[in-house]
Amino acid sequence: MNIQTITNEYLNELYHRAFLESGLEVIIVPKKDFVKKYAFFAVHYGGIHNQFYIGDDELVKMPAGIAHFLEHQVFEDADKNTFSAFEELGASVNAYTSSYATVYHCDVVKYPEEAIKTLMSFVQALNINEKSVQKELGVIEQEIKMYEDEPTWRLNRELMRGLLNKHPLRDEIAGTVDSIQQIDADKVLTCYNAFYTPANMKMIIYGDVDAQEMIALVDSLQTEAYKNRNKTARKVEFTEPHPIHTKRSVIYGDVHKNRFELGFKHIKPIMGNHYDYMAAIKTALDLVFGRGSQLYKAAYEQNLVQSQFEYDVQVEKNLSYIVISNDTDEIEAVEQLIFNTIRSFKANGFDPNDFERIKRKMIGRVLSSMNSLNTIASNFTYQLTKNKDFYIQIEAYKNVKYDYMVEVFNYFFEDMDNHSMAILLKNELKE
Amino acid sequence: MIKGTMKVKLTEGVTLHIIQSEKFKTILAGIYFKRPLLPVEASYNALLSRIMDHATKTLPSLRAINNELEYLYGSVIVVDTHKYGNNQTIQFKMSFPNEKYLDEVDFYEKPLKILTDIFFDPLIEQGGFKQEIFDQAQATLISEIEMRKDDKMDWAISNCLETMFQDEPYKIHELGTVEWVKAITPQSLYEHLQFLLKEAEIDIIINGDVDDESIVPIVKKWFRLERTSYTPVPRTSNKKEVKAVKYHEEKMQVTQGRLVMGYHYEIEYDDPRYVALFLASAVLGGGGGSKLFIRVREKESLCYTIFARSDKFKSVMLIYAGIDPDNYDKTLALIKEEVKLLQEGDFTEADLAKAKEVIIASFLSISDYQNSFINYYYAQVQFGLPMDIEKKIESIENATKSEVIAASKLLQLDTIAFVTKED
Repeated sequence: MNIQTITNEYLNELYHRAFLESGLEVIIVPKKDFVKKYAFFAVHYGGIHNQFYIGDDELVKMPAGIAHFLEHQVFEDADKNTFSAFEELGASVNAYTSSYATVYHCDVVKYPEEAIKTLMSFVQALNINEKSVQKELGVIEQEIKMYEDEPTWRLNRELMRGLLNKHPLRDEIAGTVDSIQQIDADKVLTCYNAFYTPANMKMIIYGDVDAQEMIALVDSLQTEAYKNRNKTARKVEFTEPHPIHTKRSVIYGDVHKNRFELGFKHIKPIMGNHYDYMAAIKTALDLVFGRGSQLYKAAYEQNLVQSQFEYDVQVEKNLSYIVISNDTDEIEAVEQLIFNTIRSFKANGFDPNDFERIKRKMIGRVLSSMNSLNTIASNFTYQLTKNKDFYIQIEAYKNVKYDYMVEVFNYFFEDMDNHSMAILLKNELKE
Repeated sequence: MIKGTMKVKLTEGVTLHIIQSEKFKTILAGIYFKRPLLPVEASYNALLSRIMDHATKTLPSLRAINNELEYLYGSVIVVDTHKYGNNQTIQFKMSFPNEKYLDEVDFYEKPLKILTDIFFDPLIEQGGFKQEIFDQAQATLISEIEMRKDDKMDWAISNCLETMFQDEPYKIHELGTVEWVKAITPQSLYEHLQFLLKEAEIDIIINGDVDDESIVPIVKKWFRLERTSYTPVPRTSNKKEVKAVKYHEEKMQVTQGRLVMGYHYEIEYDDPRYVALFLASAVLGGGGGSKLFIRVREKESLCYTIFARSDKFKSVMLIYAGIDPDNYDKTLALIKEEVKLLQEGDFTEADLAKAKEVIIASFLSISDYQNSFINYYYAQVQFGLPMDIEKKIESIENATKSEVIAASKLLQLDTIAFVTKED
């Protein structure tokens, strides 16, 4: 078998990659100093993939929340409780469904081979019938209601619906109490067969392990039925138009401070390569909104906000967006401050000393991110579910150039009016 | 993975602990001030924890401190207050890169100066913290206390503990109350800081790839405190009389009900039976393979979240479940039945072995995380126990089923708290 080794000189790290005959990609990230080992079994299928083509281009539409429902069903094992099987090894298992992927993962100290065997065994088979579907509906209903009781979660949903017109990121990953009622065993099985194929999955193992042995182990643990599942459905790709959907919307909740989420959408292609673009935007956002920013200082000193601004950027193929949020009872004043700040940076540029300071900060952050294998494993896996390399991304932060960052910032905010504001107000403000 | 630990007394009531571990690329320094948990003082300690990293004499604003931290390769300072049983701590933690990876000499001087300046040399005007900085910190803390209600799980747990310990200081939340916070002035808060520096029990714990010879002199230089006496915090008992089961209900705007059951047990962390008690709570509600998870979630589909956990500092076990409010009676009856079955020994050797494996793995991996590592170490210091992970694992391995049954019989239901929807 052909095993590639990918090295990153800056970080002094490496990993190994192999493609098995079945099409399954196996990645081993050796980390000597850590006691725990982590295995992530990832499927490129998530909350947004509710429409796809199977067979001879037959379009299938599934109810919202089905990928997440399937994740719960995969845990159902005919013989025994999946959690127990791992606990017997002193291991723990969990899974999550994001917009783009479903990931099953376990961590283990003493018996990594056994844990990987158990992980692969339950994900490669699906035990499902109408009864198990009915039973899981009750559990998932409680999960959805738990999220719905979190006002900040509802606010973020509100923003995504305001920002986007038709992209499936508008939908909740877990679906709604109504949408999941349309799920049945047949539909779940269709999705399983369509996406849980070797070519659409990755196995990633982190820790003090031998790469060759692990790759051979994963190879040997594939079932015949799994290896023969060689037709992956084709996902419908969505394009999102430039204008936002709703400029401003208000919801109410049982909170003690009002809150806002402000989103900026950008659908033009990225400038340069993905890693550099991402690093440039994040560095700029840190300078504009971060702990050490003039904006935070001003907002804090005027008593407009009490905690730091939260900010995030997502960069997809045909869609990027930035979300900025904070708790405040002075939403209009904060909003004005944010817009004035962005305008001022566009007009006057950034202070080169601030830029150098943030770069030193990045160097330290790289060191500390290498401290926790748990963090490395989560981030590395997350990047892989988007077909990106975590180590290259980290290195890109070190190499951000001032001029490029300024250019990217101005490019992203060229149409500042194309933003959406979602507001969460205290219940007592309801008229 | 641990090269060694060492302990140095710096002055009365101040102990420096160095734990060397090679695998981390950063140094983590934690300074712990310990006090008994008391009404009013709780809010003083909380407010100090919210103001102290906001200005020093040399870095006179939040932005000045944040910019300096960024310049020191993204060093991070976190100040917070925590309740450990009947005591309260203020914890100052700072993480900074190991100088091995930087092109700088004597780097540690800089972060340690900031970390100690925040309490030895804060920005003071007219005998108190600077008014604007004080006002912001006070407002922040008040809204934090008000926002506690927004996390329904935490709120239901607080309701349970407050009812359970209604006649004890333990019912005090580590942030205190809005009234207490409002009564504090910049001057009285500064006086409290002086009081802590004189009287608090202080531990400094440093973890990372450092050697004592280089780090101890730097800590000594910057931790500039000399005292001839202090107020030790005595260990208090967790003894408690459990009478009729108390019930607390609160109606809130929720769609999901939050059920919390508080159990008391008559032994403490350093009792040899504690290991068996800890295992009993793991068999009952430790994870996805536990009795409660399998019965209440997997068989009956009544909830998404359910767990049992034990607080070693207060001899309390809590069971939590997020359920449909209409299923309250059914869920409560099922949980009570599972506790009874546990006490009757209705679990297998395999159930116990499973719980042991999980707990052993978590002990083995404590050293993978720098922060949990120093927190575990500090907890051991609280009980006067050594860093004894191997011994601990041995005692877990040796615990028998009959010991676990005997320990589970110590569980006494004291309080049920329920956060439910409005009518």
